[in-house]
Amino acid sequence: MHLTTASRQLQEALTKHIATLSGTYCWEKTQRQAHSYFQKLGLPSAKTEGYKYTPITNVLSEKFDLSNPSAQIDASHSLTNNYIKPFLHQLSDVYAITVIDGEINNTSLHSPLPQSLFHVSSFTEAYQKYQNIFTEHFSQDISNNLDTLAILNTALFTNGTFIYIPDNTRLDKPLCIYHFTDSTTQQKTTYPRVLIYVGKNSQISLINNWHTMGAYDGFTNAVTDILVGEHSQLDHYTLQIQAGNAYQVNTIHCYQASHSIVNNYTFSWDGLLIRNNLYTDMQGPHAQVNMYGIYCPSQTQHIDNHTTVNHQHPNTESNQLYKGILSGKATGVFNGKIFVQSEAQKTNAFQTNNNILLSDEATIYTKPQLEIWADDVKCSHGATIGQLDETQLFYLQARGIPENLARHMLLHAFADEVISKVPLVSLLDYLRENFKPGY
Amino acid sequence: MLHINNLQVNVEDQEILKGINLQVQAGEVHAIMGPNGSGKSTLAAVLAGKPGYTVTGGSINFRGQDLLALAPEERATAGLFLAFQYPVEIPGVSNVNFLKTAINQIRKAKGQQPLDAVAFLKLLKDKADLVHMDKEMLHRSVNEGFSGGEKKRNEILQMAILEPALAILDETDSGLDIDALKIVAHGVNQLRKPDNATIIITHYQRLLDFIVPDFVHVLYKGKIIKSGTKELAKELEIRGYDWLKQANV
Repeated sequence: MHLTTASRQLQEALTKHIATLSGTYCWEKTQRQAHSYFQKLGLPSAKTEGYKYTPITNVLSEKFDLSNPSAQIDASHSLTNNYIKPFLHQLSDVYAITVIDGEINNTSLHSPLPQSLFHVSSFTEAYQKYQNIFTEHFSQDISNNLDTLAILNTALFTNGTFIYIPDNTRLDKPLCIYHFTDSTTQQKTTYPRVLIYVGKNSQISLINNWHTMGAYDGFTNAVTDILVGEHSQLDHYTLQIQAGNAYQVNTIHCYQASHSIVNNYTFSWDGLLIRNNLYTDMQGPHAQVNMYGIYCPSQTQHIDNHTTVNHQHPNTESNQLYKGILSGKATGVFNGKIFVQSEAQKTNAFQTNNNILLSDEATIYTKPQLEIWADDVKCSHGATIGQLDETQLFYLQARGIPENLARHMLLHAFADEVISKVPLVSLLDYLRENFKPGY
Repeated sequence: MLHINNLQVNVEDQEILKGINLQVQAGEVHAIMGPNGSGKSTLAAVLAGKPGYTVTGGSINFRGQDLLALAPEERATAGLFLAFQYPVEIPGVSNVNFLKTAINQIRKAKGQQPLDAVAFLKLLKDKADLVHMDKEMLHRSVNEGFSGGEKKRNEILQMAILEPALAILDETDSGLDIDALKIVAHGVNQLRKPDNATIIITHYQRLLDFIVPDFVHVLYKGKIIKSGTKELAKELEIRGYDWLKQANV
């Protein structure tokens, strides 16, 4: 489809969608706001700084009908349980939640959730009981978040998945949301929306596991908002490991209260085009975030990680370590923004991005962006781009280890600096087993 | 075991080895001595198959095989071992995992079953004692943060575990104090058997007080200009390389 035609149709569909909003839910006001922002912004253009190295608009408008939120066209999913089942067994010992095309699915495949410990349901189902949370969250100013695709999600999502973790909760197992984009019968565009509320003094692990299922391509434009209460700890994992024919823009926005700790892990090894936006807002003092990522695009894959940390309060800390292995004609992007506001004294903010290029035709764009307005801070950033160390390779070979295995060992060692930080043993095993870069 | 015949090697179009002839039989220890820049380390690198060296002439036969046709890992599994002058640090790869992978590749090439974890750890403990290697160092990344002496001991540990037919020690004595030198030499002597051979590449005679060679060769400007017995090394120590250089200008 021609770009301007696609753009016009999308705007028309948006207007239509907004007109159907009933006024029942508090987020509809935000959706209207998002609509007017999107009317101004449109899809990213060649001049949009944030998408300079990820020219997504052409691909999207050629391949997908962006105006079709899946829920409107396909209420009965063609994905059968047998199709989904193998994926649900990848990780043992999790509280599994299945979301298909953005709609939470009450499948009988996994054991019922202990809803006395926490609450999981669709937005609309949760609305009555948790109205104050929705109201407070959706009253946040979205004008600062100018990622145009995240705004498009806000305007177009039809329902969402809500997870509520009460105060003083410690779960024995991680929650795992299996997100499926069903592209078994046609190309598909979906707008999944997730809101996670973690109360005070709680500690949980949550996995967002992304799959596009089917022979057709799928475009998943997802937004996950995470509110972490005081003194709570959240370990959050994004898995794009068996993503399939996925085009994905995955926006995660973490709002951290004081003394909270968030560990974010992003493993992007599969999929056709991946863009991760990871925003962290430190909304109280002594909050800490650690952000780890491994991306290893091969062939013609494109993986882009944009991170933003906003230090708004004193004594906050952020650590970022992203590592990339790029082969074939693949492209990688790492863009890490750190803002330290003037009141955020005693901030520690560190950022490291290391890359190995395995082929002459692979490309990496890496860019740190630091804006520091406070004067009593410790901040650092560093980026490296290199190749596999030939002297290390020869050393291993000289001990009888075949070249392929030696390469594998060195790439594992490179990535394991990040992977080994994963505290969940079953996930750690799964990651190490499935880590096959450069093939 | 090793037959080097008129070996000529270039590095970046510069001729470094200009016709080396050397025969090494099982049970023998050969020392190759020579001043800096004579081509000693080039010879070691070419034997092990390090990239970046162009063989322009000659041949190397190792245990009946054309050594130059083999990849580095095939040379290792065929029984050749190079103790590096500068052992490489490999962060993220544990010494234990590295050694286990290596021994099992070599066993595989010999048609032997891989060692299981228990058998391997027992072997590792026995051999680590030989070179006074702490258990803690075995679990660290390969050579990472090791002192010079620890790195060299780690080389001998690898040699002890892999049990090569031919070991080439490239300047193993460099940077070692006398105690470390004794530990390394003791390890090497313990590993000497009638069916294996050792080539010691060294600048100084010092190491040869502890590992006594059967033959000594002097390499100068890419050629072996003199061969003899261990007495030659002693004479070199007294008279210096100039004694031979003058005769060969």
